[in-house]
Amino acid sequence: MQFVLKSVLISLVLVGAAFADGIKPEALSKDGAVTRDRHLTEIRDIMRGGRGGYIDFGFYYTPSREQLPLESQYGEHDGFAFNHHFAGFGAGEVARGRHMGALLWFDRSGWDGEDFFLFPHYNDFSLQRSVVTWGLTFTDARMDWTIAAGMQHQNLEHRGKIYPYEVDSLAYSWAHLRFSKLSAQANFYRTDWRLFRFSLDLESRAIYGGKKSGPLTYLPNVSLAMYNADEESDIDSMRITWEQNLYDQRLYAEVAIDLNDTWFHSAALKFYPDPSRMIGFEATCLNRVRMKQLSDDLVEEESDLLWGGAIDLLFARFAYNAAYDYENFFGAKGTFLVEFKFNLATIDGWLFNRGAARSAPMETDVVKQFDKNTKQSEITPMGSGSGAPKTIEAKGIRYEKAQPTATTEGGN
Amino acid sequence: MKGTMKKISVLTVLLACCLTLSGCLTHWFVDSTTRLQIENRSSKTVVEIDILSEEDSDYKVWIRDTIRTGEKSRVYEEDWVGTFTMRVRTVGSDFDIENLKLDGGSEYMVLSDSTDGSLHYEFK
Repeated sequence: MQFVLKSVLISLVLVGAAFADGIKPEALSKDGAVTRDRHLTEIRDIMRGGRGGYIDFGFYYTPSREQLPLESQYGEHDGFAFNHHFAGFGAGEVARGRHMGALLWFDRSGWDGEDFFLFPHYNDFSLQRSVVTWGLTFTDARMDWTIAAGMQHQNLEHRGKIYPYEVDSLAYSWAHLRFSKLSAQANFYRTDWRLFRFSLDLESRAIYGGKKSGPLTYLPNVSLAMYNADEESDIDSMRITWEQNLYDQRLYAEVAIDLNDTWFHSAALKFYPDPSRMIGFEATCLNRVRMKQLSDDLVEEESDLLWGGAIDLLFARFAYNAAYDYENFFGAKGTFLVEFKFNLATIDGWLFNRGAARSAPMETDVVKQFDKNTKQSEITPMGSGSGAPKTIEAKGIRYEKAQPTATTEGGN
Repeated sequence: MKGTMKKISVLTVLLACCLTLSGCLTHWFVDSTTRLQIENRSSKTVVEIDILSEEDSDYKVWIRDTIRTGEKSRVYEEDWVGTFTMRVRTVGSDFDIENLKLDGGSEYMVLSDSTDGSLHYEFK
């Protein structure tokens, strides 16, 4: 049985590697905007509480250089697509119910001819870019509102010969405002807006003082994002995302709709064995839309559905054609992806994964309960109780006769 | 003290795993550039080796050197590792080698006359 399982797994990996599709330079060059948007979405999720802490780090692991080749106009270049990321947020209570904090999100991603951890090869076709988002936060827990603002820096480390021109150092400003379950985000480049996002997180979450079960937990989380890619101030694209609890905050559906001709963008069915989202399984479907240049002024729109899935095991994520990787990892598809990662959020000592509604069941919870029960039977401490005299009852004092020493000293 | 040592060793192992898994190793035994040298055993004079783009008018020059019959070129190192279309320009005509797989490292390419009048290539 084990042998069969192993051979199936191995053959799947081989098939995955053999049919891997190359990633396009266009996907790499637009990844800066994708990463900045993802940073702000993740910040939105963490700012639902606006206090406590959060850490995240991870990187994709693609062992073969033929797994994700770069498909340029010259052919297929062997190499490695990479994404290293970490994020952190921490807030402290400065006054009763008032929390101030700082956050930092970092991503370094691109494609290189060699695999590396710190020092890339920087060849003629590679591209390395980093995006840093930082900010300061303030939360009033009693009034339940949060304000956060900061900067985003997008730095191009190296651009190969085949990529379109890009400014190597861009700075954006961002702000996030939340009042209870409603939040708004804005992102600016100088005085031009780049993104507005309005989110309505109606779902009742126990971790933020909401309900553990019941009809209120079945309310949806809806967000509307508006993007503007250029200098002009019109809206270039709009996307509505709908997240819906289907069963006990363990089974969720997520649908994204683009407000243009294509409409359907993606759908996902996610199952978390525990509502803390430490472990997750997902099946996704993504509508891939590609423009095909037929002639100079004739463009045909092609679209097909990409079906995939992923398994998230807290420290590692295994995915095949998953919508998340297609969007955030340069349109990677046709190959098995492994991401070594870890993320953990905390509020009031409770632990959970980003986006979760309830905390993970913890040992300390059991210990606290035990402490409560045992405290009552303990001796009353000094000074407590209204001047009652402290009494110690001696129980079970025994008098023992001294043993005759001769018997213990050996000898017959 | 013992506990601290244990923590540090666990951390070191974790870090080592991360570094190993994220590569930094494959280019110790796999080349990420190709060093190409051409020997011309054909009757034609080779003047240029290019990598062609899908758009036929676009190309990148790899070797711009005159290699007469019986001569060898110098070694030219470029970042071409993968599958490409190579164009061998000779005096009078061009020959395209499609789906040429280059694995990186030292490549010694011998060009000779083919029976049908075109060029024959072989890696040695």
